[in-house]
Amino acid sequence: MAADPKLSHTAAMILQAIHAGYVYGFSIMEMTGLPSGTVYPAMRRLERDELIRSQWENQAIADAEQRPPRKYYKLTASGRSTLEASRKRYPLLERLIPTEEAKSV
Amino acid sequence: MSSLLSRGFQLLDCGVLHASSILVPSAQRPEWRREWSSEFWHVRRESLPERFFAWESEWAVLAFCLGSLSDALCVRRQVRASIASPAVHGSAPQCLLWLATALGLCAVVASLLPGVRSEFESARYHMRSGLLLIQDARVGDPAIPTITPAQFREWRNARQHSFDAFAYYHILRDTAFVSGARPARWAVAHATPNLFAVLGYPPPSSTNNSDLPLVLISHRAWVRDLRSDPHAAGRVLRLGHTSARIAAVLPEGPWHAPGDPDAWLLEGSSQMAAASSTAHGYLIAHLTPAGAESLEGGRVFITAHSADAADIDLTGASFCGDSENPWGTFSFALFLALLALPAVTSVSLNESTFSDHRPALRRRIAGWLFLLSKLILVAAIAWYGALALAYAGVDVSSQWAPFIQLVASFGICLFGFRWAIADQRERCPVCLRRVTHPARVGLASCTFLGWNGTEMMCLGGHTLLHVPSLPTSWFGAPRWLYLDHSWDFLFANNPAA
Repeated sequence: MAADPKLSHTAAMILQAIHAGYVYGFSIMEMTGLPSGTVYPAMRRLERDELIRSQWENQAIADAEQRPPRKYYKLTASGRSTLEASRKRYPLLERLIPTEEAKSV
Repeated sequence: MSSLLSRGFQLLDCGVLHASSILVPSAQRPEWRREWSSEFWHVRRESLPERFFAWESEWAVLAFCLGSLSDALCVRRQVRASIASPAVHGSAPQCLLWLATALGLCAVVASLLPGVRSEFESARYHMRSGLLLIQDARVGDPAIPTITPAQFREWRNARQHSFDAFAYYHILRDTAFVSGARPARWAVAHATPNLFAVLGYPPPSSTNNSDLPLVLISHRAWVRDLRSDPHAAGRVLRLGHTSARIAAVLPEGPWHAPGDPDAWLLEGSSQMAAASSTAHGYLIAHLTPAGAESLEGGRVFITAHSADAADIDLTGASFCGDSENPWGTFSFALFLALLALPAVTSVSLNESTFSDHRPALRRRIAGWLFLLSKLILVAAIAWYGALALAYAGVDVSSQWAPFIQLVASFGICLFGFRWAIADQRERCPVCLRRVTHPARVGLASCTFLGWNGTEMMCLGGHTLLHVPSLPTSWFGAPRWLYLDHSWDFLFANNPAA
């Protein structure tokens, strides 16, 4: 990305949730309280803008737990820097979805 | 009961997911389905209680599944946006492709219309020049027969200075009996065998090995009473008391003969001689070169002498067929459209620029070729489109058809050419892509010796087009601003650049 995009509050919440360890769609829905019709399209756009990237879970792990594999999302480098900029724009973001480090402190 | 309801909700959920997946482009569909199936499995496991049925939870899972619709539409839009890249959008090949598609559509529609096919068919036949329809000078209506068979025989046998061939026919109403078809009342033209030779049509191709006379059927009668039988030629029919063999079906349109006959029965001299002396018919004569000089305004006045030495005043009216040549009509419309074009748009394509920069000669030639291609395609669309309009709803013999064709050709050509030139003015001279992203520049009330108007950009990063909203003495026409390499960074991520 040539410049940091200005994210909507929803997109910033999703980025923050992924950063906080909620790495698949349903967990992000539960954490943010957003409906599936908002979360999944927003994640598509974030992935298109290369702020997050997705990866399928190893099939062996899912088989061992007798469930279908999940698609996990994680932040990219530009996603992290965009999230940093978004935190300045939305100061309550970290309080809404605290990260593990923040919780431990 | 609860398990049945739960099963019903699960089927509903799966149905929603499946319906949503149809919206996803096929290349992305397996991946999309896999993700949503997996999420659905986890959502059901975590949301629904195992032992009893809970409406609230089932509705929550259904709401989750309904969200897949938004996601599917989002994926669909993303894929479409990536396909419609700036490199293709508004490009010259895309424009030509659209025009070619429109042309193909018009051509297919026109070729499927029976009226157009008939018009093309009739255009293959050309009547000879120097033909006259001779009738009594006291009768003004060419549809009224005035010549008796005896007069025809007399003039044919006499030595002529002005004419080198005569043909004759008179109309009788007969009942036509065709095997396999109901009897029909036809207007039968009893004609001399040389009629079609005099007219200049190819002679009937059917070989006649029998003694039966030949009959040629009009296209209208062939469709109406023989149900467009493709094997009609060679069949025997009975016209009144006369049996005849069908030699051919006449194409519709080339000549709308006076009397409007359904069939042409070619009779020999003996049958003609047997015709009633009171019957009246039509006399067609072909002028010699010397006779052609006596034509005044397409008419010639003749004084003939009857057997009892009485003078008969006749008039000969020149005709070359009633049907208009569609190509001639189109050419005239095209000519009119070219004449009228400067009245509806400026035909000048002189490019005004902010500097002396000019595109390379190769690119300028490409621009002119592109404009020429557009004009040719528009003209071809006008040709087929106007034919389809003219002959879609009216009979091919209608006098309105050429008029409709003329007006439609003129309209399509005029406004099509206007569009082609206007489109050319909004295309980047370098890459021929349409400029886009219009932006307002300046305010009229705040401008002094500057300009205000609209700025548009070439997505390839070659040019900006400045269109003044108020033409002034120092900025009257749109101007191109050629962008140098310092602008490249703005278009670095653009595949069109």
